[in-house]
Amino acid sequence: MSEAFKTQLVSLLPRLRRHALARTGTVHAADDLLQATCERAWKCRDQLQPGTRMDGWMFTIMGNLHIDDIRAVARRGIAADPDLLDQLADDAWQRRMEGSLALRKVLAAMQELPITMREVLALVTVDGLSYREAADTLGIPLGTVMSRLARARMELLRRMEARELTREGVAK
Amino acid sequence: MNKFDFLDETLMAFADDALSEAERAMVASAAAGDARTAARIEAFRNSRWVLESAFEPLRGAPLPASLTAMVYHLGTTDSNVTGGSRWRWPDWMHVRLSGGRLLAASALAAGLLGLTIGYEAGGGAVVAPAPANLAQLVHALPKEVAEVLERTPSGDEVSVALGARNARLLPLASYGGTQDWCRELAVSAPSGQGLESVQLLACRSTAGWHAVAVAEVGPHGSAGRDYVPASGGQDLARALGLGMPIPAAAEDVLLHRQQ
Repeated sequence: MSEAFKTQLVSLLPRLRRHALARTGTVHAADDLLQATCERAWKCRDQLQPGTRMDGWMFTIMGNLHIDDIRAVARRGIAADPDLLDQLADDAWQRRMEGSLALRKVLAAMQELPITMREVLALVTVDGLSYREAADTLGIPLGTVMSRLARARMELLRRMEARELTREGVAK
Repeated sequence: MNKFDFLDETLMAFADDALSEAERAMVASAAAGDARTAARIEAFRNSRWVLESAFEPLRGAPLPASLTAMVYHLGTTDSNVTGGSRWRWPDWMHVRLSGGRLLAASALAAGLLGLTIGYEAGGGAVVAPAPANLAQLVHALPKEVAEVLERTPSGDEVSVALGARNARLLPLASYGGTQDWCRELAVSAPSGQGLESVQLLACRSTAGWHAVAVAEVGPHGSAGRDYVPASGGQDLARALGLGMPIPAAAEDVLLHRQQ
């Protein structure tokens, strides 16, 4: 069970890291959240029911931890780990992010959205979950997911247009 | 509500191709006769495009080996068990360097070549203590260790007998390519005082594998402290000019080349 669990977890790491990045906006914060998520999942691995999709289960754990983090940061502020920032200099994701103006602008715009909008955006449009899967992951009604998602996408688009990053903007 | 009034949620679902055929036909008909509805649908398509294309550069980007190693070592470190501080990178303790082609190619190593001194990441050179038994065993690269380096993908842990000790060997990462293949390997074995762990950086030449560096990980002989995947291997690999770990697919090619 343990080794199979880890193997499955490793196979999900790229998706989890991308989801964490969409949530947090930086590779540094994403890795912090990702590690905490993996540790929590490991501790709770016996609670993963047979037949449950592990990706959704991990997204749920990450979402809960992220909300906790947001509350904690609101209380105590945030402090970057200079060692980790230094290590990220050689990280392929970090380099690609720095090389992509579009990604940096989208991440910045997403960070301006409320977390409830950001997480549905991440699950559906970044991670490719269906509306129903996102609703199950977040534990909220389908209609709420669609409502939040529609508003989030329009809001994001408005911010992207301000940054000239719509399809038309790119084509100019 | 007139025939053109649809909720944004419905128009979004149309744009995402998530409606039933009947609903889809109704919205399509409305969009054909109403520019505002059509524009709204296009806006939802555009928003999806913006997000998907923004994240596209990350597709296929290799993960740092340390992330994978972190998962494989869940449950083996204090921080994992206690849920304490996150992403803790252990100290890269007292690395014993041995001579080699790669060392000669490195500005850092050029000054250390042939010297019995250690290198402490971020802390400069220090005098190394006498190597532990496990470090000596690993540094000698017995055939059991060489076999793991030659055959075992990173992330796959195997148990082997090293002398009279049962050791766990976990390749962490590969560097380089066909001409300069190097690997980072974690080795741990029970000792009288707990679990002894070392980390090996070895490189392959036509003559076979040779140890470039062996590091003791964690307080020497400390009870209850297991091996912790370290960035130290990457620090040293970087210092030696090896760059970043290669992706799993590239490593597979190297492993299969040897079979």
